[in-house]
Amino acid sequence: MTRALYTAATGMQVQQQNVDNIANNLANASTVGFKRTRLEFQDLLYQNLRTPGAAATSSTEMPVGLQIGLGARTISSERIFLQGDFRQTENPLDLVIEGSGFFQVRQSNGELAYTRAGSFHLSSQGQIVTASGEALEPGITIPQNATSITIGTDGTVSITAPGQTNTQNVGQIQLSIFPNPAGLESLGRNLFRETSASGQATTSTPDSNGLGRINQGYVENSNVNVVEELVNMITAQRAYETNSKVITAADHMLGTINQAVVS
Amino acid sequence: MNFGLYAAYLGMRSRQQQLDLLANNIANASTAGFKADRMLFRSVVADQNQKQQNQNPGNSASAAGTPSTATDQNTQSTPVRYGLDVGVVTGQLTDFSPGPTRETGRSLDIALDGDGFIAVQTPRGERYTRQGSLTIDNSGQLVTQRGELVIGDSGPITVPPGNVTFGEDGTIFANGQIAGKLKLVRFNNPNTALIKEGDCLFAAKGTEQGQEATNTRVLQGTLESSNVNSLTEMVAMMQNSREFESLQKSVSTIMNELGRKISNEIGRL
Repeated sequence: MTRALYTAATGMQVQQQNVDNIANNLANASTVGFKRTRLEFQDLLYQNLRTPGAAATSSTEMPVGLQIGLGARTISSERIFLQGDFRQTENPLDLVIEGSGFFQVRQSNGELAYTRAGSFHLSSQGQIVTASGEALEPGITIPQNATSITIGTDGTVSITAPGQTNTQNVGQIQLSIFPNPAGLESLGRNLFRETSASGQATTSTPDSNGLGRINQGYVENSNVNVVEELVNMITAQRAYETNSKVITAADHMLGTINQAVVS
Repeated sequence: MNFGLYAAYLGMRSRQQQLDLLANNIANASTAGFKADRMLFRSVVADQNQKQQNQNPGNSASAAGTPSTATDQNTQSTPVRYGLDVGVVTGQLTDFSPGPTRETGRSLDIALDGDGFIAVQTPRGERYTRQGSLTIDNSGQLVTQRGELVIGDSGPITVPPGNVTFGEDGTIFANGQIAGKLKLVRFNNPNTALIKEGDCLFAAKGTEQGQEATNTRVLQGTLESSNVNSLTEMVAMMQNSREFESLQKSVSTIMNELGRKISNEIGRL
């Protein structure tokens, strides 16, 4: 009886985490470069009350056993690195990666971080930085007098200075790729950090080694599908409700026993 | 009289176990690849006189799922039978029917169409799962969410970064090159061959050896949801609660009857 109560409690906890996760996905439905997460669930241990195949007599064996499971748990939150839709902005520093690479940025604490959110800006020194100020690595500085910035599909950054017809090469954007991007640690602010689970980053020029090409003037929308999340939310909510009904049923049965004792 | 009381007790106990099982099914309504469990009940023959006449008194050898009365009729000489058909739990069967598949679009999500299982490597030996949300570990090997290596035709499967495609027969292509083939295993009678181990893993415990699942198709970008039907579980739970209540009523009735008799006898003294 208490087994059913605790089992239902694990079910409710799982669904609660599920709703928490859906809420975060929905909240980031408009976050540029956001990748949605999905919780993975697994069943908990089983209590083997009787093992199948145990001898019933010397010549026969039990065809089935009796195993009662003890509920469910969340095993992982898997980040789904599917490409989001591209939105045209015409802003020269809005970049999308058409492929599975990441931009490499240097955080204020000196550590490297990786991002898919390619809406870059210029700092007061003319450096290319993210919206929260992390500089692109290797750093690229755009001269103040530049009239136009062109970024090629291979990441070559070139500018046009006033009174000049020739473009001038000012830097090269590098992209990184991981054996297991789902193993990256989310830092918030659209940034990810390399972990032992993600494997080592391989960094090279775009449009090579499966890194993907860079497209200028676009941003990558969040890959959250609002309708799908809403459907998931309804299922989670209903599952939560069903689990709570189990608690009611178990409580009811316990109440019945108490009643028998009293009468 | 005690007989009825005991029958009611057995019935109530099995209803409690039934609720435990339903609770686990419901808790796993969102667990991908989960297979629901069903409780099996059997009747018990507890009358002492009958037992002596029976050639096969235990009755426990009767196959689950087949009515135990079949053996009873063969072996019993008297037509009157005090079998307590309240049902005690004899075991549980896992419902291996496929759960609904849903589109996820993720390239490492696979659902199996057919009765096969994905073979995975655990420290305890080879295990089987239907949970197809695979991932890649830091050394590029195909693993489950808990890091168990997915077994291929020739050991673990290493997938280089890039595009991964699964063929319907389980062949894995990475950037157009064959990277390996999933080992898909099926069992003629999974209920006797497999036991649940938790973490959506099944262990082969019976005598039956797994065979290559040739008729199982691998569907990429989809996941098999849990085959728990909340509605069925709810109905079963309601029925279970009501049965429990009825049995409790029987207990009350028997106890009242007993009390009345005792007071009558005492009254006579």
